[in-house]
Amino acid sequence: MSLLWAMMMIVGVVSSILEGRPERLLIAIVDGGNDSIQYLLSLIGIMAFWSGIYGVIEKTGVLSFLTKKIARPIFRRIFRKPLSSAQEEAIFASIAANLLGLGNAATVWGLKAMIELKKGERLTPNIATFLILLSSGLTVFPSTIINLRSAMGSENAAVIWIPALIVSIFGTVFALLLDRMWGEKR
Amino acid sequence: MSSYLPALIVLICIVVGLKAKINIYEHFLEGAKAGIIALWHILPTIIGIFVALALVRNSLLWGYIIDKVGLLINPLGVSKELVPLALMRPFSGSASLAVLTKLLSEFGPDSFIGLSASTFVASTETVFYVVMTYLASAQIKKSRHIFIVAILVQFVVIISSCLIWRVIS
Repeated sequence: MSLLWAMMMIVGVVSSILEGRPERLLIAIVDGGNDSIQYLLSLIGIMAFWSGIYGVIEKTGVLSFLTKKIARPIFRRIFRKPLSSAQEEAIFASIAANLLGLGNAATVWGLKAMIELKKGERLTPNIATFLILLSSGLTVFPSTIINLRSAMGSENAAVIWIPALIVSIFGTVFALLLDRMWGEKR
Repeated sequence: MSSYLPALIVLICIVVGLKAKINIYEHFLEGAKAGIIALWHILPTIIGIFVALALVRNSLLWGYIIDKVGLLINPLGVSKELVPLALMRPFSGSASLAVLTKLLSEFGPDSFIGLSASTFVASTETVFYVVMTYLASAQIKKSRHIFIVAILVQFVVIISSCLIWRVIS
């Protein structure tokens, strides 16, 4: 992780020096800093609200019911190590929110799942699988892209729906297979 | 349709909570507090990524890398116009949407480039951003195989996004 960040910084700084415009670093710090605070501010209310809703759903028993019925059989196949019910519920909520296109709720509930999965500072096989599953881009209905396409004057904006579904399922299966292959070795 | 979903979820949650006679508002506040704390923990990571991104995106070296990757990926059936999009996608959702919008207006949303670009963005995530913030929220330092898997998957997805439209049309 730190290697990736270091590479980005080195590419940026070296390039700005070679271009003879070292001041670009300062501009990036101001721009990037402003962007991240703005992003945080736009997120904080939404995050707090959805994680509050999660707090309620957790206590009502609806989540544990759905998790048992839908997610458990699937998770048993995907995750290598057994999951506790609290972990299963948090993972299910975050992936379901993701699939339903509830971007902000998905982030909140995903962070919640990380807290449940966490065991010290070690990356466990289950955390790796969860992150790979989450970042593989599985989608049910890509509403943002379809809206954008129709806004840009597409004659058939939703035509990408089925192809995107196929490609994203393919990508996810591929991701989980790679995780199986490499997660096992270490 | 998808805008009805949040409303439905909130409604179900509150009705079921009332029926179960639990202290809804109390639990809501507890959850909200946990959300704010989680966000506070990922703030440094967000700043780190946003600054690095702002620095890299405007550099000539970035343009050079885009050219080189274009040469590499072109024989696999990926148009070189899609390379900036493919390279931006893992880092930033808003930036890749901006690049997609530009592609759609330049080539048309129903052109081959417009269709494959839309399919690609719809079937991928902002991997680096997601993985970095999630790992940071749990204070995990080592990422092991996650990034390699993520890069390979995006690589395969950009190729298949183009391939599927070549097959269809």
